[in-house]
Amino acid sequence: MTREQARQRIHEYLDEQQPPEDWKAFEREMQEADAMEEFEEYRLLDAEIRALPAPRLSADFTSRVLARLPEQAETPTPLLRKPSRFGSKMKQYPLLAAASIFCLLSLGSLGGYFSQEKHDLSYTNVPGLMAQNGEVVVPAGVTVDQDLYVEGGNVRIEGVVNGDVTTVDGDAYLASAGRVNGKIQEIDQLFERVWYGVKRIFE
Amino acid sequence: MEETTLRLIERVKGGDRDAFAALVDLYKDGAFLVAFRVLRDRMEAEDATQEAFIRVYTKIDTYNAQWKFRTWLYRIVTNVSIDRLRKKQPDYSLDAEMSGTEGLTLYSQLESKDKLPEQQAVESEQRSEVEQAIAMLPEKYRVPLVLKYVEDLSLKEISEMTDLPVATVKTRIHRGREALKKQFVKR
Repeated sequence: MTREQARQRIHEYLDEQQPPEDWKAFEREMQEADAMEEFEEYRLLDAEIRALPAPRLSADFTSRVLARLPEQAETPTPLLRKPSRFGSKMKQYPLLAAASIFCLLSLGSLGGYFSQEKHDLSYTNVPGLMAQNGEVVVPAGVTVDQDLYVEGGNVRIEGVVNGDVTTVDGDAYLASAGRVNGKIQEIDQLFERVWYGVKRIFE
Repeated sequence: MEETTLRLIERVKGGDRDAFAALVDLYKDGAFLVAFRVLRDRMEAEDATQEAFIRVYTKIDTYNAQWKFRTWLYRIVTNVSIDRLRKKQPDYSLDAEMSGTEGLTLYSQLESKDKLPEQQAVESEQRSEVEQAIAMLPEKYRVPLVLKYVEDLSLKEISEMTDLPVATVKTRIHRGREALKKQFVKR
């Protein structure tokens, strides 16, 4: 056994902290390699490391840890982790981040635009028409001699319309006594606007 | 002990602070020893141990019972301690061995400079020669070596604590020991 091999054996002996199965053979190997002295030195070193002083913790350690604990065990982890991951993704793909923020904002404004418009009732101003509860009524006995355009509400026709009736974001109800001498067209505004937008992209 | 630990962990997950206190009491001495061996300063080590336990509390949901709790805890303590050590002494080039010297690094050269003289006097009085020799080892040899001597941790456990392969841990412990012994023989 070479000196180097002997040293390897010494290290393994120290790592495992248990004497070799055959102690006599181990000693003989050390002597053959002339490593007995080295072995003793390592053993002494090992003992000194083991005897290193270990200071004690302050007596109030546990209570000090408890005093510094956050309120809840569960909540801080997910709340703290997710935004940072999202943040790092944003940094990784700045273009994608900008694009998605743009989409988000325009979607938001689009939504706000449409929901706002639902509340505004506008219609062709013709004498005799009545507006009530977000609904335009062509009362019985009233004749409208032009096209009727109603946006943001329903239209109830109890009289006569000599022209087309167009509703945007609303329905046209034709009472049994009412009559329309023209086309009735209902436009779902969101769909129409999107369709319009799509058409513009491909033009 | 393992079974008691697992029961305590379940209760901590449910937000039970008393269970956490019991867990701290069970493991604080070993954890502190790990921190102290790495940091070599009682106050620093106590702070690091505290920080590590708070991390344990906030991350208890991520604890996987396939790990020994001790290994998981010591791994956190080791990381916190090494972070603090590096903040305390930026050692970008200090770990590199100086040319023509074996086992001697800039680290050992600086050792005497960054402490107040009186503090240094007190410390060297209290510190044995082995302690001083260990202090001079580069971090990468010193940490695995000192961890080996905390509660006789196995090479596998040290490997899990430090994220190093077992073979690397083994080599570094051996190199560390050899460097220490050289100091000894010189003496």
